[in-house]
Amino acid sequence: MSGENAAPRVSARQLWRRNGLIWAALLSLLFLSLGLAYVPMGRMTMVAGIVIAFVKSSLVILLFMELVKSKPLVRLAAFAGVVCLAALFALTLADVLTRITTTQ
Amino acid sequence: MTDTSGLLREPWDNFERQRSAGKFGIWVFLASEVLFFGSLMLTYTVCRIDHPEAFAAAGRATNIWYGTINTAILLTSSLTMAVASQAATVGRVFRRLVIWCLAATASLGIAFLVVKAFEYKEDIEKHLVPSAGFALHDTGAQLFFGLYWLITGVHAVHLIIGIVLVSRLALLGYLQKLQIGEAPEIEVTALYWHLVDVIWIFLYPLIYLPGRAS
Repeated sequence: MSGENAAPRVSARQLWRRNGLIWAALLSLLFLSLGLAYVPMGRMTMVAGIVIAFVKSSLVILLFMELVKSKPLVRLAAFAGVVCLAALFALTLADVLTRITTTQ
Repeated sequence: MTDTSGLLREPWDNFERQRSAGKFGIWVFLASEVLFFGSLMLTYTVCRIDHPEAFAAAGRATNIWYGTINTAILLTSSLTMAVASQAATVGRVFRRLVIWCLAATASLGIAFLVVKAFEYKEDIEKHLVPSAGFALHDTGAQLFFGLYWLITGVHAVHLIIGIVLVSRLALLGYLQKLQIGEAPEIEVTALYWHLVDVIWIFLYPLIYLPGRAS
């Protein structure tokens, strides 16, 4: 822990550069998803938007929220949330997507 | 070495463990938030599978510019929040930077709400509130906009809570009542703020991008 007079481990410039690069990547991905939304690719248009959202959120969670540098217990808590969410989607969609629509 | 004894709370007997517990606690809370918003997004997904055409038409009726500008605003607020949080862990040498970044984050949060208010006003004028006089004819479009108002409304409530928390920290820092470098509040609040941003990152393609190519 550095005190009032100790030299900081990183400079303000380094902080801005490191995080600014992530921010630039996030904005580029935002405009990429905006552009791709107007390209007729059928279902892939929606898939592209969702995939880009996953990439953007990974950047925020791993780098801005510093999950890569966190302790295993913290990573486990985050992972538990994602696993529960995946189970929620998988079990619900396993029903919804396999329903047979009857026409009378 | 700076004195952290004033920050120590029961039942912790050492500051590092208290800090780790605080961080673990907020991550468990954030995981529960993921499930909360995830269940709403799952409802959206099931409705969209049943009404793909109506959801495309409803997505086209949203204002993509308000949505894109707001996404850029929130991403930028995450940048200032990340710098504030990381600078705070370095120590008091970055006190001014931390306070400025916290103030910028709260301001960007308010800017998001202002844009959202303009968007809501336009939506109401275009009769996009599910009711008898709803503008789009397909019932699936009413489902879309029902979820739109619910999810964006709950997200806005989360953002307002975030703005209050971040503004409080900026004010305490300015009044020299916050031990920047030791206080774990900045790190914990930053994690909450980033999650509100992550939720919006997923809402953007779900709400604003459907039906643009057709």
